[in-house]
Amino acid sequence: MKMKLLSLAGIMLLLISCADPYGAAAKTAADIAAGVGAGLSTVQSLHVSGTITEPEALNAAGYLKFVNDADGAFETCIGAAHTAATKTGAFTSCTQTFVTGLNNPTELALIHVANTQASQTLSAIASGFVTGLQTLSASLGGA
Amino acid sequence: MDPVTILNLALAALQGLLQLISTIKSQSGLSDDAILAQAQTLTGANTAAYNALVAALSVPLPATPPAAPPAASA
Repeated sequence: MKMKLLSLAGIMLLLISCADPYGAAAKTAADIAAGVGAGLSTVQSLHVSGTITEPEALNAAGYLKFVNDADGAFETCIGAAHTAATKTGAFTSCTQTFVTGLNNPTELALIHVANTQASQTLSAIASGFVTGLQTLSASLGGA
Repeated sequence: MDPVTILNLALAALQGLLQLISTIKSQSGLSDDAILAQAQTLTGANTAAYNALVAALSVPLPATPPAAPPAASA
């Protein structure tokens, strides 16, 4: 799982040199979707191994569903930004809306679990999403 | 259906999703529109995987059977 997260972070960092806002945003959306999929798999594994309880697994999965839905909204947003006549700031706006949504304390509370190691794993997944979006935002340069 | 079977089916669905992710990542030269379309495919697959996981979690795992009592000695 850590390798997947590192891979995700590495891909995100490559976006810094990308001069194509639409392509960079689309790739980020795909990477976050990949992260959500890996996260769901991790939640399932943690539950099957008995590391987290069923309610904790449901909560963590619920958080990942929230991220996935927000990613879907982000995809719609960047699609609209791409076709809009005036694109200035549109991709950055989509990204900031996504980041703001992910920082929702109510949603973040869903990944709090009793097991310390599992808690760290889930927090790393959540941090990876925000870090990726912040990296994208920086690479967009206001586009 | 056996709860363990349901869990295994959900896990298989998630593994299929990860395979799809791997396939997408291995492709290069895609247009931006194609990348966005694949991102949308992934989010759709995630929704299905989430639903499968929640369904599996809603089925209680079988309790571990108690250990058999020691055989009475004659």
